[in-house]
Amino acid sequence: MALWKKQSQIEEMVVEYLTESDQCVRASGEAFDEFLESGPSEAFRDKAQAVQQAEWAADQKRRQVEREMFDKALMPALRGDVLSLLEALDAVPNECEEVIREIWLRGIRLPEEYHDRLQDLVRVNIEANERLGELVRQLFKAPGDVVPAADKVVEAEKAADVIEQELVKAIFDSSRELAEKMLLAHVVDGIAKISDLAEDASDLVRIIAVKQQA
Amino acid sequence: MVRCPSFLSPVRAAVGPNLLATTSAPAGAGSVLGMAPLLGGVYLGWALGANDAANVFGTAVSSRMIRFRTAVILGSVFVMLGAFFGGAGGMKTLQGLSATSGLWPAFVVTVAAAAIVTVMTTLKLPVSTSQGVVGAILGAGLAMNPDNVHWSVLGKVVTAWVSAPIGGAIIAMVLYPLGGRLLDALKLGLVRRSQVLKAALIVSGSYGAYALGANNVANVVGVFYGSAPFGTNAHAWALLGGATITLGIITYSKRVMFTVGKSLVQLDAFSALVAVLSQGTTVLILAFVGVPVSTSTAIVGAVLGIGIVNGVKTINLRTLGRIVSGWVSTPLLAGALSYALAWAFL
Repeated sequence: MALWKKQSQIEEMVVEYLTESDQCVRASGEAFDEFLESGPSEAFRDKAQAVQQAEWAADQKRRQVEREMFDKALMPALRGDVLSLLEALDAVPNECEEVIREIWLRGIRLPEEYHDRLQDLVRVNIEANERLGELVRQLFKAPGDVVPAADKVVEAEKAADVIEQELVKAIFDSSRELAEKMLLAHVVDGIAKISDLAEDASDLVRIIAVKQQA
Repeated sequence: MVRCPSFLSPVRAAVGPNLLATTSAPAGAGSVLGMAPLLGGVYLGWALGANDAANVFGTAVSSRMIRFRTAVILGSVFVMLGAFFGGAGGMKTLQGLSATSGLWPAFVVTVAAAAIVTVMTTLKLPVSTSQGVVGAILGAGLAMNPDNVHWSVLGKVVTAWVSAPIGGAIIAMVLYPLGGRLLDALKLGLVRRSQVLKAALIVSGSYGAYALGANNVANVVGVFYGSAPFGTNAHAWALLGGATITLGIITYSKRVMFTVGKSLVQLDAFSALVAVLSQGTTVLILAFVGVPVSTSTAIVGAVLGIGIVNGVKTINLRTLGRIVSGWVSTPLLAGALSYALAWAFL
């Protein structure tokens, strides 16, 4: 019975991790909105710190799951798969924190004409991570039924790709200095990478699910 | 009465004239030296336990799905239970093969079989203790008195040998798709599924260990059945045989489990479960029939069955040929060695 309890504890902890990760991605969206509205203000710094704290909380939860795994609650092959999945999932909040920190430290000015599409890109990221969370919950609930949920993550990533390409083209079509163009394109790449990482994690979920099929 | 070698005459004189006799009457009972031939059985039982526990728990232990300690405890308990409750039939079948009863002929048979099993293991060829023992009984029987070899019983034994891998394959081919559909239909969560498979591996391993004890204890003590110290008390012999197999499991099965298990490690948890269940069922059915067969041949058949279900291309025909050549050569070599030993010393 204790072993059964441990199993459900791991499942609960992974779900708690997903909640922390979701909060971090949402906090990064709010911080980004604040930056577009008020620039490198005090309010933005507070929100950027909130992102850092959320990312730290997600890290802590991930380590807690890893510690539980060492107690050999799951079969070794699955332990390895779950640890790899956690690593892939954790790349998403890490990248969110990285983007916000870069904007904060470099004080990058984002021209107003790109604000709408940048906000669209951030929304798509939040949606991709949300769908990824649903996918992982589905994996733990019924590994045989993950394909539709995984497809939704891919759709979000495709939408992010389209926005990214439009933005990069618009940036390089403008009459700005090459250095500024490259810096802006770098920020856009960083934001779009969040959806890419969510898609990578969803691919891993598919692999784990396929391995579970008898 | 069979000749006694001249160099053993002082020993014979010391322990009594009946000790080296080949009659089935209990001889030398109560004498420590008189029990010396039983060491052949202990050696064979130890080798069997060390080798064949891997067929039951090898995959689960080597891939760390089950702890070695858990496998040893469960393996030992269930081998003893299997030997006690289901081991008698095989002993009578082996006795029926040839009139080679008596402690010293039994000693020759067990030592010849164990030696060939050890050599084959060293050469990394698949080992079948049952085939080694049967070959050795026939070899000793032919050397001592060809008229006492009962070829009709051999027919039953060889049929069972062929049945073991074929039975293992057929049961696996039925269980694999059925079990797979059942597991998928249960729609278990990721963690729960893992736990169910882990529990099933423990249960199937225990079942396999029971079948191992029930079927293979006859290999260890079958040739001693009717002799001292237990005479025709099959349960007492079964307990002794079970204990020697357990000794092998406790002292030397770890390395074999990791070596043998890793050659099957490509099997996922579910396939390993099906392989062990199919092997256990085949061996247990043949234990009811009363013919000792090799767990190795049954599990090879089961893995082959899973390979057939997954597509014939997954089967390595070269490895299969090597395995089959091992099955053929083991009884022949054990028979030849036993014949030579019996001819020289009995």
